[in-house]
Amino acid sequence: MNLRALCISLVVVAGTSVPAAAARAQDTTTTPGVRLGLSYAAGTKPGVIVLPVRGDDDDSLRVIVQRDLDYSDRMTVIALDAPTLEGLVPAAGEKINFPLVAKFGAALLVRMTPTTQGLHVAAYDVAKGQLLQSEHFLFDRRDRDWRFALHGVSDQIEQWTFGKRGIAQSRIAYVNEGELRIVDSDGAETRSITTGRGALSPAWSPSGGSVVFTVLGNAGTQVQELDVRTGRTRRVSQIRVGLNITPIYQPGGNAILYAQGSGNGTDLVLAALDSGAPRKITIGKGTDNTSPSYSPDGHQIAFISGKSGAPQVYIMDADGSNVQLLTPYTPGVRSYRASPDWSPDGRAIAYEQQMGNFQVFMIDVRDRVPKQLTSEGENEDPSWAPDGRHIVLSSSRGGDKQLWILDTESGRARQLTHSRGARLAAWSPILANPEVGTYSQ
Amino acid sequence: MTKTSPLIFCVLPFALAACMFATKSDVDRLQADLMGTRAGSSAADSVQRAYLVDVTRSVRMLSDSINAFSKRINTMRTATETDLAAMKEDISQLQDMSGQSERQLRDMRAAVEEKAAQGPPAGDSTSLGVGAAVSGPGPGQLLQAGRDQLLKGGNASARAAFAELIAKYPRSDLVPEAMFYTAQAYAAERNAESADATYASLIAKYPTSPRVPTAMYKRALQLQATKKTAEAKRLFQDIIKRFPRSDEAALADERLQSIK
Repeated sequence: MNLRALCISLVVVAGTSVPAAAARAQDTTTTPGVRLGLSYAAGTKPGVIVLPVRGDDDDSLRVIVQRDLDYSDRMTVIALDAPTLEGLVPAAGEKINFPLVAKFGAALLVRMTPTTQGLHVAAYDVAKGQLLQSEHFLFDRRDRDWRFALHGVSDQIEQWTFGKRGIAQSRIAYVNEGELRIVDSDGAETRSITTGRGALSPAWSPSGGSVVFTVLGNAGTQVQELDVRTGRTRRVSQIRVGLNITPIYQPGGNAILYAQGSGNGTDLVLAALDSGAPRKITIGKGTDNTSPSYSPDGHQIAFISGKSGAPQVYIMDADGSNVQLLTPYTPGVRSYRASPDWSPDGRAIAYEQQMGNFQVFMIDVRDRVPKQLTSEGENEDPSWAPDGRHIVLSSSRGGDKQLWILDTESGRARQLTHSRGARLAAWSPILANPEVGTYSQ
Repeated sequence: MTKTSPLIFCVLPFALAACMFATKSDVDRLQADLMGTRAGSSAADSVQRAYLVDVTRSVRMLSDSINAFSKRINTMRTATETDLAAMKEDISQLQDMSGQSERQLRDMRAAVEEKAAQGPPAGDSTSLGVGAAVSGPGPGQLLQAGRDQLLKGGNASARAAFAELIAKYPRSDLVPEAMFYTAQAYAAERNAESADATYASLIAKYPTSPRVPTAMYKRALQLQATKKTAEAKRLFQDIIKRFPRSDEAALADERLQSIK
């Protein structure tokens, strides 16, 4: 079984008046009075304590959930030693000592209780001393993907707390030594999904079920699509042999937009997955137009063009018209910009800019004011997380080039991979079915 | 057997001697002629050789000249191509900068209108707003507000802001922009008919607006999508004719080739 952490019971919004929901809420606890989200001081990161799980001998459930909440950068995990934590777990029939929990600075308390079918998870608003929300998750430690299922629990806790789902249940595809690999958002469970060499520029489908990427071969570069669940791959047939690079899915998932090179420059072309010849979206006339990224609504495309000299980030309508320079142009300064990625909330575009070495920037689509996000080491190839807040990038800040995750709001960075040469990362959407196969190119 | 006359034996030696004398002088003459001919031929050869040398030299010079000329042409062509590429880049840069400046000006204008809308400082009864203080947001503000809504996906709200701009400030230079974004909002709502009508209105009312080539291209695409190929073709051709340097002209050309 794959993602068993799908809820079987209700998400109980306390005080709900939906009778059907109330009828199914037999194994959930609810508190009278309506509330959505946690009570905590505005502008602060609320403290959270995750209680130890009974029967979880290696403490891994608590550790994974606590780490996910920490990596969300929305909460401050309160680290307590084991005896103190045990002291906070109420004995059978006793109530949670909220005043004591509050003394440690926690605004949220998470309690997970194993059941015969999975895991009962309850989140408490410490300030109010009451249940925020609870839910029963199907969960089995014997499942291959139990860790990934548990990430879903963490994301649901974030949903209860902030009204916005977390990003723990997502993966990052990247290239290492020509192989395509994927890794969970917390850096665990790295695996290769191709066994050949020459893979480049992976991009996830909107559903997260497949990845499109470029394979460097004798006859140029080919665009291939890989079903992540089955490991089956297929060449996107109507894409001819030659230079075919930086493919991405159209937001609907029915076509692939990529850069096709010829003797007369490189242009963006759109190839429907089922039929039809690729259609040109840009007409560069000798210039290079590459690295497309769709806006979330699919109406616009950000891309790199050298039509004004040095490569710059442009945006245009999805039909190729209404081209506008996005990154500010300074006469006489030959700035070099590349790898744009449109944020999932549509508000900003991340890109890399050469300033001696490469650094990652983001630019607000409305104000068009760039903001430098990195300065330590060399930082390239940004890709947004589904929350529109975190970015994965390849960075040399730790010595070797590795993937790092950067919180664009706080500037906090954490290392994701620990194998040399990781690059060209692409963050998946929230994944519903995480099973992954392998295939040989 | 025939008998030979004794007279023959007497005459034959004289005849033979006469022949011998005649042949020798002829040979001498012949030799002299030959020598003369040889000398003449030799002189002619020298002239011809000299001539050939001249011709060869001329040909070589001509060839050198052609090569030099060809090199000059190639150099000039390369320089011209480089210049053209540089000019093309310069034009693109100018277009980009002009686009950026226009956007910045619009933003500044919206900011100025916003300040004006906040009214004069207390006690300053002489300051007059730009009209916005009296009658609400100015055209720049309305355009900005509409665009903000458009970015957020609030297409109906965006259209309302643009409509207000057009209604309250019909003479504003931002009206074509408002019309263009109104059409964009309709398109985002998948209301292709209204989008097309708005683009058509923009093209008709403001033929010199920089938005016209894009509006024409959008219209042509809509015609093509609704199988009105002949009309689409005409519009694509019109874009190329009226705005040959625009991005949309290149796209139109590509579309025309696919129609053929």
